[in-house]
Amino acid sequence: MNRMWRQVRPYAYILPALLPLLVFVYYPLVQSVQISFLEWNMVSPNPKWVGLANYRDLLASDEFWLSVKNTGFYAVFFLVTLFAAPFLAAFGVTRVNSRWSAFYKSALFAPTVLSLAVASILFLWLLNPVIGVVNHLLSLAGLPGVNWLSDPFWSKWAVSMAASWKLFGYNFIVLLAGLLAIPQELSESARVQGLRSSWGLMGRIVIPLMSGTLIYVFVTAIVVGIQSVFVPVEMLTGGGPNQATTNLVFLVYQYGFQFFKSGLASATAIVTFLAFLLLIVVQALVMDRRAYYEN
Amino acid sequence: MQEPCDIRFSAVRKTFGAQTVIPSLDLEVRSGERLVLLGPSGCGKSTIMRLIAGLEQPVSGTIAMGGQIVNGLDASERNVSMVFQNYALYPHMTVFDNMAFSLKLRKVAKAEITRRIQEAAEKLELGSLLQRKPRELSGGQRQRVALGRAIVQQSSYFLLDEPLSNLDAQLRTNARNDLVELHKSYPRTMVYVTHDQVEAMTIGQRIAVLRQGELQQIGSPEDIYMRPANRFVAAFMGNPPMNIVPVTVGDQQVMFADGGELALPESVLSSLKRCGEQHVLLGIRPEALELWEGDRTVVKPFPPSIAIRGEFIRSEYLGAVVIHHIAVGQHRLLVSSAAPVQFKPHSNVTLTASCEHLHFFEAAGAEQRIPLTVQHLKPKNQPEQVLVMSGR
Repeated sequence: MNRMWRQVRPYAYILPALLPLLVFVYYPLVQSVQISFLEWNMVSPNPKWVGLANYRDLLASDEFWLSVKNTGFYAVFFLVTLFAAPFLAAFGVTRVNSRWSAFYKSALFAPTVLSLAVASILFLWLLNPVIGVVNHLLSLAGLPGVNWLSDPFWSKWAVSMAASWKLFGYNFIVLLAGLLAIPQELSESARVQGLRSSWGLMGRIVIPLMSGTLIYVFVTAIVVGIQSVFVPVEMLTGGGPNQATTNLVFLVYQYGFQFFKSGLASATAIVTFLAFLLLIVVQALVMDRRAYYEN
Repeated sequence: MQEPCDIRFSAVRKTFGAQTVIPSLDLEVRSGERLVLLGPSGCGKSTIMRLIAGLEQPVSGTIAMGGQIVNGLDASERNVSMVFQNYALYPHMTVFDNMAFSLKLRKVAKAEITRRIQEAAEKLELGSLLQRKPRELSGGQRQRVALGRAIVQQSSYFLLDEPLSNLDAQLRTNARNDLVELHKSYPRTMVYVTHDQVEAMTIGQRIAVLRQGELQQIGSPEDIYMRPANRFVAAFMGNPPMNIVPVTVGDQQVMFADGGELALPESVLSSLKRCGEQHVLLGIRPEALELWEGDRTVVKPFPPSIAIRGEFIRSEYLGAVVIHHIAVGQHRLLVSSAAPVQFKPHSNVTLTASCEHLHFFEAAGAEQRIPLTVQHLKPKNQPEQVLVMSGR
């Protein structure tokens, strides 16, 4: 009895965490796979089995490939604004006078406390073509104003900026914590040993020592960025103009909850899931092996 | 060594914000010597080392290394090796890569890098550890890697910031010895920072004692111990610490605050009178005092000696030495001896000491040492009988 309990005990302890995960994540995931083979509007009592037809239709549709292209744009945009930029900002903050660094830390983190919806509305005002501050500043610089939310080119930039503004601070703080965890003695030792430039320090000491943090932020910058940009897309552009701001996550929503094509929506979700999975596998196989973890 | 590798501080001042760490320092490290910077924590010794390394820049004054003024020169250009207190090994690199780091930066040829590392590894018994990461090493091994990393750099200056403080007592004794041996095979100018006087005495060819950023005394370990320049150095060096008692200079004797008197030979008194101070501090090291049972009045005529009567309180047995607590009036003196004694508590005892072991310091100001001429006295025909009265 006692021995059996000892064997069961670890699983019993994990159960409270595992149970909601099974119910709310893995069960729906399996369910989605199943729905992706159906033609169904979620309410009809007679879902129709169509096999791979949803996938075939999806891969044949222009809007899917447009979404893939846009998702690629968002991924690159967020790698710049939610990975590279916060890293450079954090590296900069560690090198400025400590009195100023406190100011920068709070200033850069502040937008994080707002919700994405609030950030979206804020940008709605900032980017207003007539009374918006952004166009006003452009005109002061002698540049022509932009119809940020109705221009097919700039609208992607507008929604990405709104999401980046809100998400930047969190990644900045995570990366700053990673940077500050590197003992100062190490960079001083490197300096005494002949390492002069900040770039050299970054490449040989800082990046290798915080590679665990960097990989985490790299993956979440893409995944969280693409998920979060849904809110400004939905609130500011509705995926438009002419689907210029749509992406895979938004497409799933449109298929599922605007057009009630549950099967097609599930197929899109599965494809998106596989793309993100690929990213995580690449992370696990390639980057993790080279990363240095403290313990 | 061909070129001179001395370090010279001239009127160097260093502040951090409003806090002055080093008011104005003049210091010379001779080419090829082992100089120890010694002082309590916060005395500025690590700052001095960081100024030499170029990790800090002085507010004013000049630092010259090998005759060149190096103010403003970055740490990366100073040709300095440094061993940090926590070793600062790069945790993501193997022992080999840690040691090769500075050489790769200087674009030393691969074969030469391997040769130097092999040589250092052999000397430091690191041969089997070269492919390990620092976290797989013991404290002693890490310390040796840090040393090896500094050696392969072949810089002219070797800086060590409390490198033994993270080792246990046993290892520390060996490491002290190894360091001195190592310096003999790599005779570079070495600056060693510590707050441990035993380390300072064993490693330093000269010791610079610091207090609040000011140099108190610089000299050989014997100098520092036998002729401390002021009360601070006297009290800081030595364990158990020197007995220091305020006294007033009289005609034939000095008086303790509680009314006790200590008769002194004429030569000593005249030295004291010459300096013109009424109130001075008397210092005697615990091992300079001899402990006798009962009241002794007659002591050896030469060398001139003193005797102090007191009351035995208790002994602390430490193995190699025994420390005795003796009450003299309201003062408590420490005496150390090799052998334990069997005195009853509160029994009368007499302490004797040769006058050449007496130290006097000014009681005010910088508490400077008052030089005595007692050592040069020739024996007189008349035996000098010295008697002590204490406020017992």
